[in-house]
Amino acid sequence: MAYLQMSILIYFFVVNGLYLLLFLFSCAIIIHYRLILRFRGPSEILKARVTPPISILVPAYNEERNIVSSVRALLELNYPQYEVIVVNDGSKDNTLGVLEKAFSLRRTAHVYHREIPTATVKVVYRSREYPNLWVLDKVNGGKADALNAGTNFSQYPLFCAIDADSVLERDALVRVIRPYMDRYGEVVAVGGIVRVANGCRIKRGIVEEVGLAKGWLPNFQVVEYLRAFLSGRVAWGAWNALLVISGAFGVFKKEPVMGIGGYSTETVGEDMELVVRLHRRMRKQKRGYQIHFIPDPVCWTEVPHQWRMLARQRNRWQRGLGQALYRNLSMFANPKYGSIGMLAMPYFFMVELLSPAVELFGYALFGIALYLGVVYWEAVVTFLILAVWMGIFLSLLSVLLEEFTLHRYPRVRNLLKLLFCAVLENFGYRQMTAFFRLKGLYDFARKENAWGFIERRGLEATH
Amino acid sequence: MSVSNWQLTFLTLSILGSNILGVMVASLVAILVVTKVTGIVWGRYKRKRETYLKSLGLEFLRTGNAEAKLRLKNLGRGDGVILKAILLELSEGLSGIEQSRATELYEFSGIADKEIGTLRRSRFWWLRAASAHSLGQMRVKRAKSDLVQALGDTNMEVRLEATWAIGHMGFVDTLPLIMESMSHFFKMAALRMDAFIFEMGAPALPLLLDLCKHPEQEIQLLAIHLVGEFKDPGTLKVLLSLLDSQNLEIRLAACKAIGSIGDPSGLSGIIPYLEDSAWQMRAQAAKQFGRNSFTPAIPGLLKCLEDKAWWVRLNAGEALSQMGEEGRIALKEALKSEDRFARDMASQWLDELEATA
Repeated sequence: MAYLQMSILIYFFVVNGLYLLLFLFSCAIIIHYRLILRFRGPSEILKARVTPPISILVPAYNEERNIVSSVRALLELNYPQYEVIVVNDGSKDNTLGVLEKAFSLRRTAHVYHREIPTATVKVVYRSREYPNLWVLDKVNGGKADALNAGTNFSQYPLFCAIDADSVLERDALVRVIRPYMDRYGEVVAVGGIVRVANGCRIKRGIVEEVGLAKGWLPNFQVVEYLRAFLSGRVAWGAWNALLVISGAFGVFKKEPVMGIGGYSTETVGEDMELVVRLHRRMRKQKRGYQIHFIPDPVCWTEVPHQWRMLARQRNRWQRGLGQALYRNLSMFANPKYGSIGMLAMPYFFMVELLSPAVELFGYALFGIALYLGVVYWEAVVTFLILAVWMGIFLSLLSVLLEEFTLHRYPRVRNLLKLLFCAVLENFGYRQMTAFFRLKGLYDFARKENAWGFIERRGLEATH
Repeated sequence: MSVSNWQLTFLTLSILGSNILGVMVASLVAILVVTKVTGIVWGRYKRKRETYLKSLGLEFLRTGNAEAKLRLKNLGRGDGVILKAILLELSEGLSGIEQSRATELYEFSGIADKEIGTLRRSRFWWLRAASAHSLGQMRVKRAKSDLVQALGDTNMEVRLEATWAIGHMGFVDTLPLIMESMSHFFKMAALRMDAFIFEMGAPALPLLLDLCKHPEQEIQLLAIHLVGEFKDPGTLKVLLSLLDSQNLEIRLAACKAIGSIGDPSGLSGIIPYLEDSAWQMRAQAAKQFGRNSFTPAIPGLLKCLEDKAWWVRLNAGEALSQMGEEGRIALKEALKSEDRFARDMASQWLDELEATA
């Protein structure tokens, strides 16, 4: 029992050390990035004649509530040349109908070129009002299939995959394109920070005022997103070992994605799986490449406001993570794949995949040992410091980092509320999400592959 | 060591770790409070002094009043920062005598010397970059050698700002140095150079044409792009010769540049490339014909509608749809083609034409 306790403590010790390391590294990168922005603002890129055009892909399944405002916002983005391709993936609701009405769509005789195999595209629509808006109406094949259809149809060298229930900042593309402007030949993908839209005032698809939701659950997720994006992904991106670019927002170079056959339709974590496969292909071919992450808040998304929905989402994410790692297992601890094989894959396996199991096992073990009286008090205190206390500090640091660098919550009240959430989320919320993720791990082992429906209120109703 | 000792060690380390984090959080909160308070105090001071300094500055710029100029000499550190910001802001819309006076005031108030010193000696790249930008914007010509030196800076932002500054002051002779310094940042460099290369005008063109044959591909590509943007038919000879380069990237860039110039003699020169062995080249050529509504290419484009590469067919169809009535007739003719793909593409673009009519 004592050795088991010690193993748990060592695990937590190492994990917290890694978190701290990632955080410190991210701090330096974010500060550097903010300094760069002083010299290269969005307006310069907007004026440039060499900005690469982008196709925005919006897979939509039963999105009649959000789709019009999302598309409207996309059509008002600040970017010199882009097209919006909405892929209606066999929705059972009136998604296509609301689009047809809102944007005066007309049927075209457009030829759909199926370079990556997808489910049948029935009709290609184009807006009469907005010539850069296309809608593909296809037979249901899942999100990955819809994204592949969009990629096939897109005419520009870069594509941006976003969720239909997300809202992009008006300058999102201008900001995310910066790494491509620096080294177009090498950059194959860029991800950006996704923020929680619940509580923000959104009108006609534009975030007018950033705020926090009334309920605690979305606000806990605000802190969680800050921690994940600001400290985790920023650092991995800088080491060119980023394994996840959120499906809610990412810009990819089309040619390498086509080269690996597009998104995989056999996983529920198609976003992560694609990025891992891109790394794999590039490293195998020994091609100089970069997958970047920009620490700018560029995309706002609605997060689950009910525990039930959160459980489904986290379950799916955990299964997706498991599938992405499992399908690329040959990269694990393989020096041929450099920092991906030796650092990122082991980290994601040991920390992201297994942590819910270890954490919950730790709670159970120390609880039982305490009950049986076979535990040293030093061990219990150490466990609490490592599992809860350090978690609080790391969350607080993330909130403070946001305040210092990005400062998207202008009201002092919101900052204080976030700091309070950073403390509170460690008592109940974190353990619950660990439980949902553990269930996801179990379902992954059972090869469960359902997507899991998540009910949304609609972006403009989240305030 | 017994298990208990291990646990004591862990406890000590964990407490130490959490203390470090605690100190970090407390320090950040303290810094946050200090930053906010300082910001408020500085903001108030700035607002108060800005009105006074701006009125003096404007008076000198408009009238050349020597007394106003004298009162702006030897300002304190805070006022110096405010005056610099005012001059940078004002100089954006200035020209002629007012611009010269702004530069004179910038020099006279000692800001130029400080900026040159910062550019030479600062250990912080963002300060060097800001100085380079400031010197360029205020057109301090005596800073040329320092700015040229900054083209070799280890930091890319400093190089970019120095590039901009040199270009803004119109030093044509530094062009090859700029290109070499920026060659690895193709799009960013092109973006910066697009803005000023045309201010340099015709004297820059011979240098650019030389650089089109530079051994480094990145420099070549950048130079070809910029030559295209000049839209000077006199450069076509060089660009046409690049169409037969061994390097596909160079050929594509040359084809695009010829399209940018849009001169019929150049466009005629790319008609044979509709039958090039590389599909990218065929697609690029088709695109340039559409962009310029170049009807002599119609027979070639009709053949391209039957191309085995989808992108070539797409671009050929689009090009025909951009050629007015002659293009429409050609697309209708393609509807009778034996090739199914050609018929599909023709019908797609005819449909587009009808919808937009």
